[in-house]
Parts: sequence; C-alpha cells; structure tokens
Amino acid sequence: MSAVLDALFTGSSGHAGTSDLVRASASYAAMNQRFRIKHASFRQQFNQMYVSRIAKLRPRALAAARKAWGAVSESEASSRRGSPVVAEKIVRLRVGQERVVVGTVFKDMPSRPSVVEEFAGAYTTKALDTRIVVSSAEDTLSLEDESGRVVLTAPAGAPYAALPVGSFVTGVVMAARGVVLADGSLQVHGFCFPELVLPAALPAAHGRPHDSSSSQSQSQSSSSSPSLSGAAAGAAARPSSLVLLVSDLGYGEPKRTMARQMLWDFVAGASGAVISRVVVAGGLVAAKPIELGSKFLSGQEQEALAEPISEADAALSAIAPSVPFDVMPGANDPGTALLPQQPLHGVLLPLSQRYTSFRRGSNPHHFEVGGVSFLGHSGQPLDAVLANAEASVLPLDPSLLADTAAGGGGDDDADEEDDVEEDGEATGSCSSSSAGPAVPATAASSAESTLPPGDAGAATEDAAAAASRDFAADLPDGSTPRLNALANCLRWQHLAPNTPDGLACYPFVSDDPFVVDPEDAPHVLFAGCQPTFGTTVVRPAGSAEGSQGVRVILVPSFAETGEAVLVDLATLEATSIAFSCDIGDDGATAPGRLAGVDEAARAQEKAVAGI
Amino acid sequence: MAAASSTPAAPVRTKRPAEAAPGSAGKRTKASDFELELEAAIAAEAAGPASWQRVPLRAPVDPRKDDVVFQWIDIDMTDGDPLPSHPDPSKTLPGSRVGPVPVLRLYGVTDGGHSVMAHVHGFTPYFFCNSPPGFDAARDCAGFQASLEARLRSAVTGRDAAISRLVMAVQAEDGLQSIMGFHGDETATFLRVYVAAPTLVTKCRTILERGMRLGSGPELCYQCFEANTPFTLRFMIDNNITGSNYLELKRGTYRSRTGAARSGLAQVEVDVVYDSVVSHGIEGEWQRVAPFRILSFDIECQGRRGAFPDPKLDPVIQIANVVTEQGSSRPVVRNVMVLGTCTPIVGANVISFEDERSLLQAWSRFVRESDPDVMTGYNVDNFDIPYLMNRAATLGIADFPYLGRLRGVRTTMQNKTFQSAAFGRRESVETKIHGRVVLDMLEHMRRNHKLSSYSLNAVSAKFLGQQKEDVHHSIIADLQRGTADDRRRLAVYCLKDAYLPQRLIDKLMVVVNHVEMARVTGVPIDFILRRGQQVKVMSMLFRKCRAKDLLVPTLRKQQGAGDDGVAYEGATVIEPLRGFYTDPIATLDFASLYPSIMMAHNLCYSTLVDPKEVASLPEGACARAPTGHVFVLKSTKRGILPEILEELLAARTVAKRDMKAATDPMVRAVQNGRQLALKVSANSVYGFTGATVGQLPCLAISSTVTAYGRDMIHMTKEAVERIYTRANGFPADAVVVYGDTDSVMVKFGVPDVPTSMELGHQAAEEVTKLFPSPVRLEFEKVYSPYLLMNKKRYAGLYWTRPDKWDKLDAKGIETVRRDNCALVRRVVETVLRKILIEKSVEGAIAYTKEVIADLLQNKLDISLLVITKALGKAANSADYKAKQAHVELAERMRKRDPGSAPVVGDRVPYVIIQAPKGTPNYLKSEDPLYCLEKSLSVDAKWYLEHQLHRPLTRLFDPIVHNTSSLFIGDHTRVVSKKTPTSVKGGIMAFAKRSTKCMFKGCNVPLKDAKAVVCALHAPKVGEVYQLARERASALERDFGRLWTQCQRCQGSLHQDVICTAKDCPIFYMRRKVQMELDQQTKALDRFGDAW
Repeated sequence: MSAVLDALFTGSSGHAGTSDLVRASASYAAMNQRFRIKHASFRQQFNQMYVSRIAKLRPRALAAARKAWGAVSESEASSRRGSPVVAEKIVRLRVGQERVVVGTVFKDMPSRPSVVEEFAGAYTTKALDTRIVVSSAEDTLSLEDESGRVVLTAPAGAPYAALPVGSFVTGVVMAARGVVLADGSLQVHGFCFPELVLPAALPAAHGRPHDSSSSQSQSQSSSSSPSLSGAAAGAAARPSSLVLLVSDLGYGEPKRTMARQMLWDFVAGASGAVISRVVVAGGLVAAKPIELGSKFLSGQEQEALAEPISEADAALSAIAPSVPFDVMPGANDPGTALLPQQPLHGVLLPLSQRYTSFRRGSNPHHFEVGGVSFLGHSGQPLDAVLANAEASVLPLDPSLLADTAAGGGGDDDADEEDDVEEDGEATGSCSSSSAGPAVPATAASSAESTLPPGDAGAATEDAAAAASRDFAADLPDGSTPRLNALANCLRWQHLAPNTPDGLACYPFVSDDPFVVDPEDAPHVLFAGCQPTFGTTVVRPAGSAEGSQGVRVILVPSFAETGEAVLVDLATLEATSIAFSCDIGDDGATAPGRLAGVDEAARAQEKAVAGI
Repeated sequence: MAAASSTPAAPVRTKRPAEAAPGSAGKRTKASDFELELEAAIAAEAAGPASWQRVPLRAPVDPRKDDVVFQWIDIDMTDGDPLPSHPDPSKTLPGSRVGPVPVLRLYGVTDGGHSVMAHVHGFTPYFFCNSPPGFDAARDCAGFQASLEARLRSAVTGRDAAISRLVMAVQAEDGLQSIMGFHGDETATFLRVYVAAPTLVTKCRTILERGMRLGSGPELCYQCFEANTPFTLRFMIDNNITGSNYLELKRGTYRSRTGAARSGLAQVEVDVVYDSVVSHGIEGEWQRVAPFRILSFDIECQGRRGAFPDPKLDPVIQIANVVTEQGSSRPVVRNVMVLGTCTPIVGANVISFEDERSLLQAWSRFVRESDPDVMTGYNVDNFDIPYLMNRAATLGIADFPYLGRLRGVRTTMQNKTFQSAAFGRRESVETKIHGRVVLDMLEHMRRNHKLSSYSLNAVSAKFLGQQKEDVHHSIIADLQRGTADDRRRLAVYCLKDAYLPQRLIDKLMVVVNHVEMARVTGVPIDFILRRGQQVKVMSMLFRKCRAKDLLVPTLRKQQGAGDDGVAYEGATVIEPLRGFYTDPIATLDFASLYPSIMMAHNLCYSTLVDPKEVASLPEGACARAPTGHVFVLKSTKRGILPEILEELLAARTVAKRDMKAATDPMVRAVQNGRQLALKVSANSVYGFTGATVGQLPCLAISSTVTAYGRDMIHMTKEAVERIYTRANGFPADAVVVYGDTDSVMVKFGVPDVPTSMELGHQAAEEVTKLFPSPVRLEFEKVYSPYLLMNKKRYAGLYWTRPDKWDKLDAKGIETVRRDNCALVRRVVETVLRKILIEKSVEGAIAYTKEVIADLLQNKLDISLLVITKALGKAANSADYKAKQAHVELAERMRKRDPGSAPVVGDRVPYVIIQAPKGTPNYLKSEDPLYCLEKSLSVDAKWYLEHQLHRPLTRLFDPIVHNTSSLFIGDHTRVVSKKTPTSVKGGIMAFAKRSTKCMFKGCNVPLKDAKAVVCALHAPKVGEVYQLARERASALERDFGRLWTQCQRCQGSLHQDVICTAKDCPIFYMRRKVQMELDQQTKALDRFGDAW
C-alpha cells in the first residue's frame, strides 16, 4: 500500500475525533496565459505553427545532438574531423554524406482515410468520423524542415527499436543521424530529441521522494500489498498536502451516480482534508445525448442538450465551497473544440461560478500548487498520438542508438548492423521510462532482452524483427503503450505532437504553445480521461536511477473505473483511489475496494437508507 | 544497337541505363508524395548533361556490314537533289535524274535506342485519270503529257517553277476498274500521271477536272483517281509500309551519311532508294515496340496580375523536363531550368540561369541533345510550345526555333482548325517539329475520354488517383520574385506538371495504343493525332484497292455517288416499355452489327449495281436491299469493304486470343491496344460511307446498312416473343422491353439470374440462325434489377456471371455532363445505388426528400452547387449572341478585381444566387468564393427546378405514380416559410440578430446591445451558448481536418498551402469553413470572454 493512502487513512482515523478539521492549503497559481486565444481568427493556415515549433525545438534538438554525438556545424567541420556534421538544410543533403538532420517528423500513412475522398464520395449530410485513423506496416517516416523532406530508413537488419516507425507521429521534432543513400533516403543510425528540461527541485520534502510509485501503477487494490507496513512506518508524518486528479465524471448519465457522490463525500469529509485541490481533467459531462449535425433542435432537444452541464454545475457548486476546484474542458464538454480548449464558459456553470475557490482552467492546463508545477491535458492529445501509432508503442529512448553511434564515428556502413545491436546492450542501463526498484525489469532492459547478443549474425535478424513487433508483450507491468506514449510526448517536449495533423488545434501564427519550454518545465505531467491509471517517472537520458525526473500520470476515466488519483505534493507520489458502491451504480465493477473507501461507502449506504 | 550487328533480324538489345538503376525505391515511393518519387531518381542527378543524350553508337554504321533495323515513328518529305546512283549496284535508280526531286524522310529508333533518319529517294508522285474515248496509248500519251505540262507550267509559281519538267510521264494502264459501282469483269484503261512534285498533283487535278484540250481535240473533263492521297501515305501504301512498323535496310542497299553531309541530328543517317526498304508486317517479333524517347515538359511564366500570360510581355521563368524511354517506368532525365537561383531538388537536376535568353537557348539545345521521338505535356500544342516560340521571337533569339531533327531547319507554327464529326470544331496551333511526334495529353484526353473536367488535376485524380496542387498563375509570379526556396517550390510544382503527363501516358498505354492504331490502319501516328477517322479508312481502302486493281475516284466536295446528300434513316429504337423491372432482363447484342451486315450482304462501292443495269444481271447474282438498292452477292464478286472488315475482325479475334494467352504484361498491353484499334477501325468503315462531306461518301451503302439493322432488330423481337412463350413450354411469355441499334432487352419472365442467362444464351443461338453469316446475336449480360427510363436512358445491375453482379451500369444519365453541378451527379448516383443495390425505393425517396430539404434550407455545401463553363475566346459578352451566365460573371469579376478574374481559356465556376424576381438568369451567376464572403444565398429553387427536377423525375417516373410528390410536401413546405429570413441573414442566422434575443424563436429586441438574451430567457443563456458553441465546434473540427489535408496533399508541413484547385472536392469547403468560423466566433463573442 502506498505511503500516501496509508498515511491518509491511518492518519485520518487518528484525527477523526478532533473537531478542528482544517483543510490543507497550498499556494496556487494558474499559468495558462499561453493557451489563451484572445481574438480568434481562422484566416491563417497551419504551416506557421510548424515553423514556430521547429524554431523553438531545433536549437534544443541540436544541443542534444552535440551532447550525444558531438555533432558540429558545417563551419566547424574542418576543425573537428570525425564528428558528424549538422546539415543546415535538408535539401542540401548529398548521397554518401553522414549528416545530422534536424526536422519535423512526417509520418506517411497510406491507410489513413483521405478527407478529399470522403467528400468526393456519395452525398451525405452526416459528418464522417475521422478520428479512427489507422497506422499500418506501410507507414514511413520522413524528416522535414522548411526546405524539404527526406525519407528515413533503418539499416537493413536493424532491430525494430532502431527506428520504431509505429511509435512516432507527425509533428515530432528530432535530430536524426544517418547517411544519405543512393535512393535519396537517410539511413538512420541514431536519433535524439530536445533535451528533457527539469523544473526546479521541489521544496524540501517531508519524506524522501519514493521511486516505488510505479509499483502502484497497476494495482488499485493494494490492501494486501506487502509495502503497507513498511510505508506506514516510513512515512512518519502524514502528507502535508495532496492534489486529487479526476477526469470523466460523466454527468448526464446515471452511471456511477453513487460513486460520484462518494467521491465528493470523501473529498469534503475528514479523510479528504489533506486534499488541497481537486482538478477535473476533462469530462465533466458524458458524451452528447443528441447527434447535433446541422439540425435545428426543438426546444426540448435544446433543453436536453443543456441538462448534463446543469447537473454537473449543481454537483460542483455543492462541493466547491469546501475545496478549491479546477475544471478543465474535455472532448465531450460544451467547450471549444480546438486545442487549446478555452475554459468552459461561465454561463454554463452559473452556480459553481459564484465561488472563488472554483476555477475554470484551459486544456491544456498549467498550474502550480504548493510550488509543484502541474501540466496536463484532458487526454485528446494522447488519444491522437495513439490513433496514429502502432498498438505497441515503445518507450522511445533516443540514447538507444546514440551512444555507440557517436563512438563509432565514421561513415562505415558495413558495421552498422553490429553497431545497432550493440547499442541495445550498451544502453541497457540507460534511463528508462518506468524505472522503479519494485519493478523487476525496466522497459529498456526489456528491450535489451529482445535484442540479439552483440555477436549475433544474420540468423537472429528475423527473430529480432519479430520480437520487436511483440515488444509490448515483454514490457514490464506498468509500462503500457499508453504510458509510453505519454512519456514519449515528454521526451519530444511537446504536449500534443500531432497537432494539427492528427488533432485539430487552433492555427497559431507565431507560437506553438504546446511545446514544453524550459521555463514551463513541469514536475507533473498528466493526461485525463484515460482507460486505466498509470504512472511513471521520466528522467533525462543517462541520468541515474532515483535522480530527479518528471512524474507522468494517466488519470483514469472516473465513469469507466470509479478511480481518481492522489498526488502527494511532497513526494510527487501518485496513487489511485477507487470508489464503488454495490447499490445504485450500474457501472463496471470496481477493480478493488480500499478499506477507507469501504467505510465511506458504508456511510453512504446508511445515508441513503436514512432518507 | 541493331545496326552494329551483322546478323540481320536478330538485333541485340543493349542494356538500357534505366534498367540498370536500382529498384530499391519502389516500395517507399508514394504516389501522394511527388518529392519522394524525385528522391528515388537521385542517381540520375549526379550525371551531367551528357546523360541527356542517347546511348552513343559503339561504332559508326557500316553500309557494307550492318543491317539497319528500326521502328519508324515520323515521316515527312522535302525536295532535294536525286542520288547520283542507286546504292544497290544491282539496281537502277528510279525517278527523275534532275533535281529538285521529292525526298521522303523517315525517323525512327532501333531496338538499342539509337535514332535513325532515312532519306528515301526515287519515289515519284502520281495519280490516275480516266482515258478519254478513243485514247490510243501509243499515240496520245505524249500529247497528253505535253498539254498537261503546258497548262501546268502556266499555273505553277514559286519553288515549283524551278522544276524543269513538271509532268514526268503519262502511262496508260489497262485492266483497272473504278471502285464505284459493279462493273462485272469489264475493265478500262486509265492514265497514270507522274509529276515532279507532290504539290503538282492537286494542280493537275484541278486542270483535268475543269477540262483540257488534247492536241486539237475538244476540251474534255477528266475524272481523277487517287489524287487526294497525301504523298507520304502514297509512298507507304505502295511499299506496304504500315504506320510505325519496323523497317529494315539491308547492308549493301543504302549509303550512310557522315560529317557535313548529314542534314539531321540522328545518330544514324542514311540514304536509300524506296525499292530497297524492307517493310516488316506486324507479325511475330515485329510486334514489339522500340524504346522511343518521350520528353514530357511544362513551362511556367511570370504573368502580370489580371492577365493571362502574354508571350510578348511575360517571361518564361521555368521549364521542367522529364525524359522517359518507352517500356521503362523510370525517367532517364529529370531536370528543371530555372530563371534565378533555386535550392536543389533531390532527384532532379536544377539548372539556374541569370537571364531568360540563355534559359530558352539552353532548352532548345536540350531538346536537340536529348533528341526525343515524342514530345508531350499538358496543353503543349496550344500553350507551351507556341508560348516558347513566340517568346523566343519576341526576345529575338535566332537560334531557338530549331527543335526538330533537321539541322538548320526552323520549327514553324500554323493555326489550324480541326473539324470532325466525333470531336467537333476546334481551333489549334500546329507546330511542325520535324521528326518528332507532338502528343498533347490534353488533346488525347479530350478525344478519348468523356470527363466532366479536363484539368490536369481532375485527370490525374481520376486516372492516377492523386490530387495535384494547383497554383494560380498570379501566385507563380510571387514565388518567382521570392527566395531560392520559393523558386524551388515552384520548380517542384513545375516538375510535377511535367511528370504527370508522362505518368498518364504510362498508365493509359498511350504510346503503345497509338502505335497499334497506326500499324492497324496504316497511317503515321501523326495522322492519328491530328486527323479524323476518315484518313484511316482511306488508307485501308487504298491498300486493298491497289491489290485488286481498283481505283478510288477523287470526288469533288459534295459530289456524292448518286446521292443528293440527303439524310437517311438511322438506327431503330424499339419503343421502351418504361418501368422498374425486378425480374432479370437479358440483353442480346449483335456482335459488330454494322460491319457484319456489310459483310453478310456484301455491301461495298464495288458491288453497288446501277439501277439501270439490274435487269441485265443474271438471276441470283444480286439482291435487293430493304432500301431498294441492289448489291451483287459475294458469290458474284466480293466487295472491298467486306474484305477489309473481314480482315480487321479476324485480326481482332487473333489479337484477343493472343492477349489472353500473353504472360508478359507489355505484350498483353500491345495486343489489347491492337484489338481496340481493330474494333474502332471496323466500326469507322460504316461511318466513312455515310460522311456526306467526306472523301468517298456513298449513302446507298450506309442507308442500306441501317435499314438491314432496323429489320434485324424487329425480326429479333418478333422471333424471341414468338418462340419463348408459355405455349412453347417456357416458364413465361418473353417480352422485349427495349431495343436499340444493335441490342434487345428481353424479359423472359423468370425471377432468377441463372435461368435468365441460360435462356439468353439459347435465344441468341436460336435467333442467329435467322440471319446470314457472319451476323451473330450474342448473349452478353443480364440486368437485374433494371430501371428503364426512356430511350437510351436506363440503369441496372450488370451481371455476366450467375453468382455475382459486376457493376452498376447506367446509360444516358446525368453523371458526366459539366453543366450539371456535383449535387446532381451525387444525388443521381446515390438514388441509383439505393434503388438498384439496396433495392430500397423508399430509401431512395426518403434520401431525395432529405436532399431537397437540405437544399431549400441552404444547408448544402456550396461546392456541390458549383457549375463550371469554359470562358471562350475574347471574353467579351458582345461576342456571345445570347448572354451567358459565366461570361457575364467573368465581366463582373473583372470589374471587381482584374487580378483574380478569369481570363480566356479559364474555366469559370459559378453558382446561381437569389435575386429579385424577374432578374435574368445570366445576372444571377456569382463567384462561389464571393458568395461565401458576402454570405449570399444560392437560389435553391433554381437548383431544384433547373438541376435536380428533370433528372430526378426521369429516375423516379417509372417507379412512383406521381413524381411531383417528390417536389412538394412537408420537406419543402417547412422551409419555404423560413427561407426569406434565414436566407437573407446569410449562412449564419446568428450574425443577423445582433440586437435581438438569441433564444431560438424569441427575437425580442434588446436594449442593451451587449446583452445576449432577454430577461425572460436569462436562465436559458447557458443553453443558448451551448447551442452556438456546438455549431462553432463542428466548424472548428472541419477547419482542422480540411486544412491539414491540404497540408498533406501538398507534401509539406512548413509551407503554406497555395493550391487553388477548384476541381478539388474540398476547395470551397475549406474556404467556407474559414468564413463561417469567423462569423460564428463573432456571434460567440457576445457572450463575453470565457477567461
């Protein structure tokens, strides 16, 4: 059992009797200005956003390339022989050269349905769903800058991880090192992303940051966890302050009505007093009850349309006085459609709106609580990435190839195969996506295990290729494709990499606010409305185990799972907490019940009986 | 190189560089990403200008050792000095010994890809005329010659005047017949007149037709024969050379030209006498196609705002070139010549020029060096080539117009009017580029495919499945003035425009099909490209007549063979029993109906019996046709036309068999091209006899053909309905529901397709027995269900196999006509699908009503309503007698902004908008983009009445009792009330009610201009907001989808989309979304900032 929950419940029971229940408080600041669209205009196109993006990220990708490979500019090339040279422009690439190329990834997906074909087809008044985008084995990657494009290929026989096409999406900015082949493609021997920038270290914590967090990643039911007692002993003090992340409350549908009430009772109650802020990461209301299209609605239909948000407003206004609240719009909410979604309009939430403790945030939402910087969105960017990625997204570790390639230096293609294979081993100890002592195998070490040994020849190539496809199967618990994808976004230093290509966003003219700028570096990155809970810590490439990293959290859909996530502001530990009720709810059975919650549930039952 | 091989007829193919290129890029190249394709050709980039040229000869041709084998592609003639002696010592030199004499030039390619030019000497032009009564060959020939010489001498001017002897010889020939009319065995003497130059033939003909005095005799008029054959064709016919076939010059029969003696640029240049040219028939190994070089190019000009580029003013800024060899899918050369600096393009050779003169000079040089056999592009005939020529003339570049294969011979242009029954009248510029065939793909598409749009974008979308970026010419100038990167962008665009015609050629097998047509009909490829159908039949007719000692008279214009040029009755149509048939309808077709009638009844010029002579013929020698014309039976004398047809159809059977048997896709393509050419040629024979303004019209034949055809259709109907009855033991009485020209549609009354097919086969066999061979009725397909709307208008599911239908077949239905908007096409297609495939008439009706409701409520996308028409010459409305909507619109647009207004040649897209009652239609046209910007409403009623009404009525008429119910009723009534307000307010009703309560249906005026709703509806403000927000969100999502699609299509993320392809289905939509979003965002602003 996690220290957070442990402390929460063991601690709270001790304090239950006292009358002076004081809600934990923490300083708060919203930092959303860059997501604000003041005067929306739609006369411009999307290319300027790509230009802004590459302008912001190119220097950072180059810095990473210098660090990883000792890459030098063309002017320095003569003085530093043997170092890979950075190509100024993609169009200047020439056959046989080894170059470092920085550009925006373009993923060609032949099976992606074309909007043109859709509109050229039979006349229909119904809009077609293009969110279902398929990635296929025919997908190819190119790297593009303002001057042109170059196709990326992996060396023959290289493991899939050498260039995991399926894990990339259009819009990622990266540096690739490779040799231009006679057919004009760039044979990639390594790639790296803009360096992960860490925020300022946390204020002195009460407890040492635990790395054991990831052990909870899959286990909502942890009452029998062996760590229970140890953690309880370790955390002498109750956590100073927690932030509760919840998403997809699903108002407007009867599903989990009771669970929702339990959640609010818990937050408002004595046990929840340590929660200094509740953040709804999208999904206040369930999916629209009416198919809108271009139809004119009847009065009744209009009312029905407005019903869910009114219900949500009433519920939130009841809890808002007792705890600070942030509400972010999500895919189903009646907010703007384009990312960044602007805060839900005040007229939609007239009741909650009256409380100063109630804040309407944007999506993405960037805020600081008690000195901890949170950056998150309501899930659409992650869904968009996964829609354009293969089912098994690898945790992209740019250093996977980088280190050895830099050591190898020269242009000798002949040794590539071996180099690549060794890379896997050489970097097995490198930073990984879901590191944690409680987890036996890290993602990277798992990658290593699927790679053939360094001396393996052609015989093992097929096996390696085959294994690469089943990568996910070998991933340790807790490292899901979804978690990997979110971690990858952090490595790409971009909140929503495949905007605007795979996800509609506002056409920014001179900025790309989704780039994770160094000054905006978060302590916590979260994505709402996810199917399951998951968390991990992402650290800069090559940094040591246990060193500072960024906490990455998948906030599960409450409507689907009945779970919320608690984040300890002192340790950044993230824990899921489930609410379920045997009566009244027709939702899926909750995966487990926590003791404390059970109490609450019983209390709820009594309350219901009392009425 | 075949010439270097000493074994004749066994040419060794040299390894082509194109084949040597690695095929590694195949998998990765995406049709959607042109730049990736370019990258695949990077290997070509490294090599310099040297690689433009053909593979060099290993050694010069040795006339003593080498046979020259080549496939020719172009022929022309000139005059020159006669050869001093025959290159073949065993022969004597024919023709005149004093110059100038006509010399033919053949241009072609060997199997090794080397270019060949052969000067063919010794062939003398000639024609025939009848001999006057009492003409004594021994006595009168010389006199005839002298008289003609004298008359001719006074008529010739210019170059011909320098010829010392104009009439070379007059020869009396016996045993000949005119093809016109049946003459039995009676032959006559004709005079063959040889003249010194081809141009003299027409002059002689005029003199002889008008009358010439022979010695002291009376002035006599002569009938001329074969005096209208082009000289090149005459030469081909007499030497059994078909179009584009393989020719062989055996060693020892030709001389090779070297050094200064060369007049052309070909690698092999020879002199040969016509009697030494060996022509190979198209059998066996000679069916192959040589690796012709094809240059596809495109130019970009820097136009001024508001004007179509004018070669007198606007410079040529880029020329992109792609050279491919026939049979190889990879270009051997890709380059782009750019004015100013240009960032390199991977896979293409970018050549920068500082001034336009050197660019044009370099291109002219490039054409000569790369030496293409075929030049192609999109609209090169009427735009690119004339523009370059005129531009070079304006700049005074003297060495530019030498694009042909002859040293020092200028390329010239002339305006041409092309008239053909099949293709209509078309004015064009013809540029004679010696030795090269100019194959304009635009022209080709127009001639061979019926499309709603012939823009390169639309054509590539249809045939290559790729949308093409379309850059307006005003943007081209901006790009040119920009940076090297901007010019690169333009260069990529230009290259793509040069590449797509090449892709079309490959995909549609254009070169192969043309070569086959040339081989089958025996005319040069150039004739196929630039002339109508008639010359092909003429060629076949002349060839056949030559073998039969028949002469073809040269008729004066309108001089019909005994006809007055009166129209005759055409094919018949059995009155359709209109309706919707759910039972299968079997279709019985006469295979090649008209050709088989001509064969069966021996219809020909040479078998037509003069009515006066019918009585003199023995019993059973002839037959009277339904029209009263009498033709001799084939037992008496075989006609020429039936013989030609027999050969064509027999050859087609062989070609089809070979096609099926072929394993090599290239061979299959050749055979398919051939069988198509044969089919088209067979069918054009009938048309030839009926073309009253043609070369040899004979309405006796054509009217007889149609008369037999009509009888046969009626006989078939009668027979089927007589045999297939219940009384005869069949499941039901068969009914012929429709019949047209060569097919009858039979309802056997059986409910299932397999039985219907079986009966169809049976009936076809049975009925065939009624007709003389080779007429054959065939069972082809079953329609089930079948919607018979009217004559020539029907649709149905097409079955050729009993288990599964092949396709939805629709005839005569509004799907391709361009003056229909896309909505009509889509609605008709969808309705047909619903009726025929989904078998849901209710669904079709419901759908139709939904569309009509949407139309009347202005909910349709404007791109569905756009109608396009080409702006004709001189966009001056006075030029058009009746005012036309698109012309008026162009004029109005020019007043608004001369820069973006359409210019002559552009297609003008327009919609019909609402206007006060009584406004003439031509004033109601408006630019769709302008409509969007100004929120003008389209005239939904007009679209309903003028676009949808008729096609929908036709479709539904056989199915529902009262089609007018489709156009009146709830779905129209509800909205007709609404229309005035919502339409006036524009697309978004919200924008209009700026000071009214926004709650739906409230409309209470608000005092506070910033308020959103009235006091009564204040609690509903969230609801009102949500509704407006939902609309905006839907638009926002569309905005994202549409513009990112364009970003993908153009193949670049970092550059803005500049495409203005109006044919693209999303062109208007993306603009509409932009504008509506702006409006909707403003409407939402009333609620105040959300932050």
